[in-house]
Amino acid sequence: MWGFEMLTYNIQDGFLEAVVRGHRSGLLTVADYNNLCQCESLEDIKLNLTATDYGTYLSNEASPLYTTTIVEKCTKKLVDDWVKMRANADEKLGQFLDYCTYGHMIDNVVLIVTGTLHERDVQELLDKCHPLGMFDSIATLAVASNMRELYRLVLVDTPLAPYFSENLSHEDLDEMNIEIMRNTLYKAYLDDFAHFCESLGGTTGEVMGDLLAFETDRRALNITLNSIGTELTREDRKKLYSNFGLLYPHGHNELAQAEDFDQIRAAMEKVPAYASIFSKLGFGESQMLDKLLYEEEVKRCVMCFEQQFHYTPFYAYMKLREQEIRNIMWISECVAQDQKARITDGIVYTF
Amino acid sequence: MNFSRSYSMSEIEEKCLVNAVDLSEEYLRLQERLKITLKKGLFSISQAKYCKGNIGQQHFNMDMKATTLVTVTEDDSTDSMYSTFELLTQPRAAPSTHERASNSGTAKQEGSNQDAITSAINLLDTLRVREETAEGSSRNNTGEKRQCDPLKWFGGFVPQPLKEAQASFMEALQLVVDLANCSQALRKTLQDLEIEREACT
Repeated sequence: MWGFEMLTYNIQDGFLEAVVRGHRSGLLTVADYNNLCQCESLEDIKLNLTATDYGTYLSNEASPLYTTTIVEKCTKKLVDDWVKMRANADEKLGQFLDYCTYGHMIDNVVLIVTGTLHERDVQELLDKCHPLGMFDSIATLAVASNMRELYRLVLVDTPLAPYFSENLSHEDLDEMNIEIMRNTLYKAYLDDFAHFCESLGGTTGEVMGDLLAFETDRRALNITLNSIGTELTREDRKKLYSNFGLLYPHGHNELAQAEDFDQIRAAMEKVPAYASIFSKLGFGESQMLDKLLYEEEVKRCVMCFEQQFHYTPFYAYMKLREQEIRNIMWISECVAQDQKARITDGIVYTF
Repeated sequence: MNFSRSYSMSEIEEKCLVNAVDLSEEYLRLQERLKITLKKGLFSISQAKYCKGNIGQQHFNMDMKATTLVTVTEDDSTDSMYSTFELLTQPRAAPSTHERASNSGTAKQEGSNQDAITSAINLLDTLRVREETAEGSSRNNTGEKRQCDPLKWFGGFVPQPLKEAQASFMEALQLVVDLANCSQALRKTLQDLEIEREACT
C-alpha cells in the first residue's frame, strides 16, 4: 500500500539503502573537481583521485597512465559496489538491480556482434565489454550471422530474450541492422522496466516512472539527431521510439518527421519540461545538448535521495557514478590533449 | 627553377633565397594548420566519447582497406627524389542493402547539423580523383575493394562530434600531402642553387 512502505521496507532492504546512501556520500564534490581541473598531467589526476573513493583502485597503477586506464579503474569501483549490493539484495530488489544492468547487456551484445562482423578477436571484445552487462553465453554471440540465429542460438536463454519480437529478420547483420536491433531491444527493455516499476508501486513506481520517461525521451531525441542523413526512413525511426514518456505520442510524430536540428527543437519545446533545456541553446546549436541533458538527469537523480524507503536511489546511484566517470574521462582527455580551456565544457557537477 | 644564362650568380642566389624563404614560410604555415586541425580532430573524438561512451579500436574493421591513397609523380627532368605527391580517393561502396524507399532520407540535406557531413563530402570532392593506368593500378583495380564509410564501424547512428572528427582528419590528410610537396619544392630549390653554383665555378 502506498505510504506504508516505511513500516516494512527496512526489514529486507534497509541495510542496502543505507549502503547506497553511503556510496552516494562518496561522490566527488565541486572542490574535488576544482582540484582535478588544475592538474597538469594524468599522474596529477591519479594523485588527486587517490584521496577519493577511487583511491584503492588507482593507487597501484604504474606509469605511463592513460585515460582509458583511469576510466577502467573508476568503472571497477562502480562494478564492485554494485556486485556487493546485488549479492545482498532480496528477490524484488535483486530483480530491480538486474533491470538496471540490462542496458549494459544490450550494449555488450551489440559490441560483440559488431566486432565479429569486423572480424575482431572475440577475447579482445570480451575485455572491452561492460562488466555489469556480462552473461554466461556472451562469447557464443560470435557464431550468429543474422538476428534469427542470434536469438535462437544464444539470446533465448538470457534476460534479453523477451525483448526480441516474434518477427525476427533473416537479414544479415550489417551496421544499420545492428543499430536498429540495439534500439529495438532498448525500447522493449525500457517498456518492460517501466511496467515492472509500476507493478512495484509506491514511491518507487512514481519516481522511477519519471526517470524512465526522461530516459526514453532522451533516447528518442538522440535517435532522431543521429539518424538524420542516414538511410533510416521516417517510419523506421518512429518504430524505435518507446511507448511512453512525455513525448509520446504527439512529440514522437513530430520527431519522426524532423529533418534538422531546428525542427527537432520545435518538437521538444512543446513539452514544458524540455523547453527550459532548449532555451539554453543558441539557434542552430546542438553541441551543448548532451551536457544539458546530462545535467537534467543528474538533477533528477540527486532529488531521488530526498525520499526514503524506495528502490530509486540504487538506479540513481548508478547514473550518478557513471556521470562522475564521464566527468573524470573528460577532465583526463582535456589534460592529456592540453585543452584545459575547454575543461568546464563537459563537467556536470553532482552537488 | 630554370635560369637563363643572362642572370648573374648573385641574381640567381637572390631568386633562390626568396623562393626558399617563401617555401619555408608556407611550410611553417601548413605545419601550424596541421597542428590545429589534428588537435581539433582529437578533441572531437573526446567529445564523441563523452556522448556515446566507449569509442576505440574495438570498433575498427580488421578487413579495413585504405579509403585514400597517395600517388607519387616522379619529376622526369631531375632526380626522382623530388617527385610530387597527390591524394587519390578510392571509390565508395554502393549504399547498403538496408536502403529503402524513403520520402525524406535521400532528400536534400538542410539545416545546421548537416554542415559537418556536407563539409566532409565537399572535402572529398575537392580531392582530385584520376583514373590510374592499367600498369599503375593493377594492385588497386580489382573492383572488389570498394570502401564503405569508416564512420559506419562505430554504428548506424554516430554522434555529430565523430563526423566532425572525420572531417578534421580528412583535412589533415590533405595538409600532410601539401607539406610533403612543399618540403620537396624547398629541397629542389636548394639543389638548383647548388647546381648553378657548380656551373659557374
